[in-house]
Amino acid sequence: MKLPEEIVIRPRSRGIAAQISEIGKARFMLWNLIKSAALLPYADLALGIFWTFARPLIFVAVIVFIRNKSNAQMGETVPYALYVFGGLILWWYFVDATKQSSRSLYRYRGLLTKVYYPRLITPLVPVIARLFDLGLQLFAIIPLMLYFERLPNWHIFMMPLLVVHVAFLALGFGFLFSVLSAAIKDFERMLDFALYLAFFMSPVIFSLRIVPTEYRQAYAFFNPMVGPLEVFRNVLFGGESVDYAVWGLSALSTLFVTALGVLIFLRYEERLAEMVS
Amino acid sequence: MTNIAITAYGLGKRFSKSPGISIIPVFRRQQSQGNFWALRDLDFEIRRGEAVGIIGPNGAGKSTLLKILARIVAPTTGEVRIRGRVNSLLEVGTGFQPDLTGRANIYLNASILGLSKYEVDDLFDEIVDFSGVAEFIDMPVRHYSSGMYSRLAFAVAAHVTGDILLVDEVLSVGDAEFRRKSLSRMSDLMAVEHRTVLFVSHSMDAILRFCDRVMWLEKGQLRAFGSSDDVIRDYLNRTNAVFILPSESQKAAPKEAFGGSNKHQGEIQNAPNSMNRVNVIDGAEVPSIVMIGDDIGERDTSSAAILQVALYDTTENPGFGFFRDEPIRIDIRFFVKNQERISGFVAVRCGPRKGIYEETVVFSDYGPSMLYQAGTYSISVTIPGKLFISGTFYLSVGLVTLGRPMVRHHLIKRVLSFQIADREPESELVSEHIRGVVKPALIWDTGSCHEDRVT
Repeated sequence: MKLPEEIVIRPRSRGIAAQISEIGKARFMLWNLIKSAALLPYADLALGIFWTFARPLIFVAVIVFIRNKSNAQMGETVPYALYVFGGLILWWYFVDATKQSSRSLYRYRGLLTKVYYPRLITPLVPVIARLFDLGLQLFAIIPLMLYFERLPNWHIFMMPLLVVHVAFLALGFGFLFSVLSAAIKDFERMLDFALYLAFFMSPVIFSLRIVPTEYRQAYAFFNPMVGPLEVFRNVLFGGESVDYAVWGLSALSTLFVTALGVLIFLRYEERLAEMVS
Repeated sequence: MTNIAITAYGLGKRFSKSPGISIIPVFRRQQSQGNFWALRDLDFEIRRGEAVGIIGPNGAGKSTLLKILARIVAPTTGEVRIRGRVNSLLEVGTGFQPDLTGRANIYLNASILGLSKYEVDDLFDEIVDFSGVAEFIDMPVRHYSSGMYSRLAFAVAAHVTGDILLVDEVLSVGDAEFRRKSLSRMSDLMAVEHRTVLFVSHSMDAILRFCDRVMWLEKGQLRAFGSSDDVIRDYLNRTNAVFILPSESQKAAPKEAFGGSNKHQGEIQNAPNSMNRVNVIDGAEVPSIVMIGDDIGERDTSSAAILQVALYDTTENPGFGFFRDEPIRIDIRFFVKNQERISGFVAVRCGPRKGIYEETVVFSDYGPSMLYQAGTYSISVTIPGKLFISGTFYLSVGLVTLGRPMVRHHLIKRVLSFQIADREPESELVSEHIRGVVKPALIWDTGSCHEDRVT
């Protein structure tokens, strides 16, 4: 008879490498969690998918109205409605993924307190699940792109890389804030407010071009969404060149955030079940 | 070594009441306050295929131990080695999403419990069959009744079983029919598939029925680990060491003292607050003879008084925990001041339970009259075995002189409580359907055939 594998339970017994290899074993679970998290927002809505299109369209209409009335300079390179729509797609993915990821430990406390599984999965699920919304909204923008005749060129192949960049950023914040807010609830409030402010401090409804040249790189480093937002629209609407310096600086700080998040998360990983219960 | 499923040594778990984050110094101070050890220095070995019951009062660390074995919380000290996949019935309904269909929830739940897609595909029909919700399987589970919901949840958990199964009193979920199914599923897993099972329960009957050995935890420490009969007998004796006696002032409201609830544990623990405590001695930690103080009970005369009361099992040990099949001997030691004709009196009451909504007298009886000279005497009365169903009972004793009117020399209501546990294997399937407070050993004859229809 083949002996089953021996499990040794000790204080601080789970190393990083072991945890990551366990994610591989738990992939069917991960897939099922992602599937249910992706579809759940649409399951009990009467209008379902309609909201995916209505939300950005109404928002864009309001922003365009304000801009036209105020005659503000936003530095956009393509028709403003299209420009804002493109920015919102990526921004909302970032915000939704970050928020849900940060709440994931609380949301999945039923799992945490009842089953053993690689805990790293928890904040990962919403970050992947919200990609579904991102995809749907990309479909929503296609008619607008056709109308304004702004179509992507070969740069479109960079799109997945950009999305991965934002996903990592959301995951980093998710790791960090899920642990912090599991311990101290105030962090959840803090994050909500920070994300609200960040909307105005990121180039979503305006372009990096209205920022003085000498500050652009610092801006891109301290706000890691600057790079992806700029490049995303450049790529989507067939822009000529990609600003690799800006993107690279944002990627660098994203890497910091993600690494910090993972470290903090793993530091408290063993106690998460106690923290949320 | 290969027949050992679980080994633990030096196992301990310290919980801090505010699990703050220590990277922020402000919260560090709070964190160090209110730490307590839920488990401390546990050493044990559990063999493969063994069914082990875990008992102990609330807060003894039973659930914490299961959580460590299930790897939900990490121990603070020590080490556990486990051979085999651990699954627990702690996990009933884990991850169920109300908006998803029954089908999707089966896949989700089973995958959370560690099954691969192919394993779920294989088990799917069996799970649906077991749950009995086949016709609603493609409906969102939020439309399910709570019974259907828990049946489906249990069906998944019951089919996802590793080598080691942890059960934490979940069997009370659902209706009686479902509960029967669950219990038989659990005994199947034990008897047929020889799973190693750890079973936490407050029901001594269930533990006696299923478990070979019992682990008794108290205040986080292993107090005893041995054969079920021995440990449970000791445990029942220990937990009944608190006696309850209504004082004169509380007689008016006896119901409050016993509460409207049918949780026997609670009754006993709450009772001392409102009742006088009787002095208890036994030298050892387990007191088992009730000494009667001067102010205890109702006295019409001072010519005879009860000195002490004790219950004995067949092994002649005084105690308060008994098995249903053994007789119980009540010993009343009393003092007679003047020559008197005296009868002993005993009555047994039981608290609220299934089908019984208030405290009820199970029976009462007066012994034969005897003429006693001044001195100290004992009266013994034996209650035959196979009379009580399992549960908590209260004994009242008295000394009277029969006649009209009856003279009550000394009467003590609820002088002590005792526990009955059932270890008869055949009662497994019927125990939850049994009503009433006694279950005499009826004589059933199923052997005769009257006509030759059988051919």
